[in-house]
Amino acid sequence: MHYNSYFIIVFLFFSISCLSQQATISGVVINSKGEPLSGAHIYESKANRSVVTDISGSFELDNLSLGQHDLTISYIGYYTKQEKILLKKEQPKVKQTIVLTQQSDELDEVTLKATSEATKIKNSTTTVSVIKAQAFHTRSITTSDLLATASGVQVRQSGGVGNSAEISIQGLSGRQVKLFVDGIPMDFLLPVEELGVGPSLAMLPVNLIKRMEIYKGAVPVSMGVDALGGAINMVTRKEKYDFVEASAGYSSFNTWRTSINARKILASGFTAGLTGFYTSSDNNYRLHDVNVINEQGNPESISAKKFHDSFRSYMIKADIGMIDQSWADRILLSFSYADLYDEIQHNFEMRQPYGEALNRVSTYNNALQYEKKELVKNLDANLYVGYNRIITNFDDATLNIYNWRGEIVGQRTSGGEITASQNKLKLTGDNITGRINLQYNANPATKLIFNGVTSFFKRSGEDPVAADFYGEDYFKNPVSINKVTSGIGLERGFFNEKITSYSAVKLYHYTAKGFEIEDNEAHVVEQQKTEYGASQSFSWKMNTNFLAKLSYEYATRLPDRIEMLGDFSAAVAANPNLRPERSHNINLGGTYKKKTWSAEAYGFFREVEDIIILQAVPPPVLSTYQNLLKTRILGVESEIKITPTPWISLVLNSTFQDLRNRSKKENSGVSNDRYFGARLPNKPYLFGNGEVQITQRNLMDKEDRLQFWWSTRYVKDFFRYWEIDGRKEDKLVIPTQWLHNLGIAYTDKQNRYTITLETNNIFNRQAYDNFGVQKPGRSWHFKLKTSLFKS
Amino acid sequence: MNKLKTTTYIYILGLLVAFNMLSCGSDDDATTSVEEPVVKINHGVAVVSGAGDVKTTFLQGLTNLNTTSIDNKNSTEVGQFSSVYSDGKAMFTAGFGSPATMKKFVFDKEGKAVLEQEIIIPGSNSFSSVEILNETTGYATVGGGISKVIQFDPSTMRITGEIDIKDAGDGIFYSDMIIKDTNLFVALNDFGGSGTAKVAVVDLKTNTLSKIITDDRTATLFNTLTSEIMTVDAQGDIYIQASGLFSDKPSGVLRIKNGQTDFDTTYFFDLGAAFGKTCFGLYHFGEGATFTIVSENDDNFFGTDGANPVFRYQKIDLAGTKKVGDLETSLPNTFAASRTSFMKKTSDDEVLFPISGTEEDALYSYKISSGSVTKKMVSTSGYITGIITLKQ
Repeated sequence: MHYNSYFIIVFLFFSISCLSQQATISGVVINSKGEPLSGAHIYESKANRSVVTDISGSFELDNLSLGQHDLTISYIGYYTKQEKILLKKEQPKVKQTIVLTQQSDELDEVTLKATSEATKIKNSTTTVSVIKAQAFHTRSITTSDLLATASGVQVRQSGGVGNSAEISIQGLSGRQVKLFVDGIPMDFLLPVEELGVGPSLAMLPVNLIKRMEIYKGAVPVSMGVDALGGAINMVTRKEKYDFVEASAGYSSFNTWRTSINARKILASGFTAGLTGFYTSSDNNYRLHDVNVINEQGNPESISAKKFHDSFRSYMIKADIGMIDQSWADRILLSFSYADLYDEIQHNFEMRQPYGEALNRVSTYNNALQYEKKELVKNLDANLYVGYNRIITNFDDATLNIYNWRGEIVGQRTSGGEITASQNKLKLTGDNITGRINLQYNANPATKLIFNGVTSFFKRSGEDPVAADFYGEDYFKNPVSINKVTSGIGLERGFFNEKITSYSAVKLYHYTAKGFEIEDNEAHVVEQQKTEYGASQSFSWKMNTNFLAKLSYEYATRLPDRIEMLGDFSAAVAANPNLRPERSHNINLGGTYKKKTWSAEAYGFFREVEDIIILQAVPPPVLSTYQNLLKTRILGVESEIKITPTPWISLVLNSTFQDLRNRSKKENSGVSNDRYFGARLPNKPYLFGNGEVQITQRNLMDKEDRLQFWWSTRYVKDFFRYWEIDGRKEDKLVIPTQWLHNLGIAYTDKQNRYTITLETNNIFNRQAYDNFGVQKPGRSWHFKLKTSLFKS
Repeated sequence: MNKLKTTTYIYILGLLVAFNMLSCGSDDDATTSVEEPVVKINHGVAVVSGAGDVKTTFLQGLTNLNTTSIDNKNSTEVGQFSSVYSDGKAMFTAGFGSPATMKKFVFDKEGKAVLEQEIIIPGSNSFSSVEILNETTGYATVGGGISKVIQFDPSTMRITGEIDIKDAGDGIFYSDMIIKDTNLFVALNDFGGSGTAKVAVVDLKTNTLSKIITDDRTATLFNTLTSEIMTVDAQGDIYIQASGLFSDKPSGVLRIKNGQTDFDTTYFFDLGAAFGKTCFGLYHFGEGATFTIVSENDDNFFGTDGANPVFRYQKIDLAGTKKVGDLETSLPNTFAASRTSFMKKTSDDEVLFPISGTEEDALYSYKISSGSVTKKMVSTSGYITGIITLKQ
């Protein structure tokens, strides 16, 4: 019943919004380059009212009386402008484009950023990193690599484009970290559950992203799932002006990345957009020290290129809708289709090459989005209804055995390269999602935020090949999960808003239904869980330069469907006795900003218990997830940005995180307490990033731009197994990585085109994120980005 | 402002220096060339160490087994869950994980287990059974659809031949092997699919599969690496233990009479009737010294529930087809019988076996002559999964 209520509320708001038509002044504030100015202040003297432009530079003053109105438009770094606007009975609504003039060409970017949406988020009470993706649209960087540049974030990848990846935020990782696209859980939209985060992120290239918000510790209620200690929201681009933009890049290993973005806005507010991308890579980089087996069964080390790791993905997305209406700031109906082809080259420690196993995915996303500030007095609303279908195909039906040269060296008599049964598995998952986000601005210092997400997911499949093996097609049995996540947050400013408090409670509920095989028969298993979480955070703006933050969160992550009910395709048995993972998260730190530099440092503490761990056993016996280990994480992350002159900038960050086992023997699966206090194995504990960027303007033409950058990433070596076990000198180690990248880009005076040349891993170092799994060596990238049209 | 700038630059410098130090540091000091005394190793022990889901096998050599406690601080990390074997000169490991990898370790003069050579079977999941006949002849099977018995030379770690057993069927796991006369008997595990117990008989004179023998009184010859389900008694009769898992058949013991290559239809030990539960493993060390391991909870037969070890060593009477009782009533239950249990005869009168418990991991001694059981040694670093003895 409560699932349906969300949809009723959603449509009620649509109805209410249609009823409110008043005298209105709306518009957009842009600079002389046509770029929207987010955070510009508009003051209307007659009604003594003021508003601030949103991220797209848009504003609206409604419920105005007829007659002349005087507007004062101001924005830091720009000359203040006065506008007189007459509202007449026959034309009660006026839409105005206001162009502000920059005070100085030398105006530094730090000042501009001070009022950007990204900075507003950064100035919120939660510990958050914001990566503005726009600066990387000219580069060949992947979404995974871009995420890894944030302090406190570690992305462990298993190879090249589209390969598997695991994201960790301040020591928590895997399912404990949740990903979102525009506030919608990413696993509703992309095949996260089926293929993991790596291939899913490859279906969301950087050129489609406006910014990434990385929440560490207390996760705001607007992120509506049960994240344990971190969430990443990827905000896609939502321009409010006409443009056509395209980019194409070619890189080593026959890698192509192309994208196109276009939008048209009519005077009526009608808008239509088209977005697409195509990414492909052979991923055929050279591997060193891999084994081929001679006729006597002995390994011989060779160097060979990957031969079965191709990745292809494309997506086309279209939307139509209206913007800047009295009843809607934005209402968009969108449709997208995406397709993925991903060959699987090897097993998880890269010891066994595969030659034919692969994944294919098709996704269909349909969504209706609605945004309105002041829907009713002081109430902002953001609504989403989506229907998504994800079809995944896993093919593992060959009897051939391959070596690292790509040669067939034998044949099995049964079984696939990965599974004992062989598979031609097709899974079809349907998901309906609704989201309501309401913000009630009681007064300038007090906001009440409600966020509710409900989803209905159902999946079934077919596998005629596995059916031959098992005697029955068990994949036909459906699995489903219905979730409701609700959260309420109260933000309140004190002492002239120098101190801001944010209190939140969250409630999670789900009902899951699956099946398990017993005595060769499928039996339905069902489970319901309800849990809660709460957080309290503060920010203290001590002066114009220094902002301090403190947050605490009691976070809960419910066991997901696979963990609780098992999954036949993953050879996992049900464990209905699983408890939720729980964590106490504390973050404390601050940011100091000056005109030419800024520095921030945050300490973090996590106490995580009942961690859900897969206790793997060899198939066909099914593995189970169990609650094991309690972990304490203490760490510090810091970042410094320096822009001593307009032509040079430096960013440096580092993270130290100490993950220690706090389990007594009962929860460790061992018979004594020797692992109590031991550092967790196979987890990076010291890493950092750096980048120096030099920008030369007016080189060949006025206002053109030449940029040169050097970036680096460092990860200290760490043990594969527990540090306290065995002889130190010959323990297995994931070695230290210190990789360097160089790039140069030229942009013409009107930002019409940018040509970029990059080289990554310039010293061709062997790099590993996971034990034994080699990442690419030196690679070259060429990219052309062009704005074919921009209003 | 200047102070802050200075602080900033010091911060950057500090970070860079720290990175430099970390990236360049920790090379071992040059070792001195002092001649160290040779450590005589007579036994090898495998211990699985780790917590949570990060566990692996560690190997160490011991001069003698008369120690009350062992740890793993001077052990060699294998990087796989492995069982151990020996030809009397070296320690061999067969690990879980693709591709099937058998490693030969020798003990250096400091007593460390050092990897000497590997045999890898491409495309396979893991070794499923290993039988080392002598220093130059061994047999092994692998899981993952490779329907072969691999013949290898343990001294050189070279594959010397292959026996095709494809006709034994598809999707079969080869659970255990035993050599008797000129035949190799391979236990076939079809995970209950046929509802029978199946054994492949291989003629070692011709290296060909002679036949498959089946018996429907029990099913599923389930076994993995460290434990054994096939044994030969003093009369030369082969006994084979079946779990009955994944079928509606009881656990049981079947017999192949000396000189025969078929199941003895006059013999069946119904372990299900005797114990009312599932049994794993069969160990025979002479009359009155035969054992199996009983699961007290079939839902937990892999013993990974952190709270309740469920397996007990039980003495059985093979000839009389009846249970005798607990190996020792005071013994605690043990975890994970099918993966980690073993019984190893280390002298004429002593059999060692492990108990992996919630309170302690230990190796116990069973005296064949008296039937007494004593704790031999405690492992403070994990549970013991194998022990080998080198020839003097």
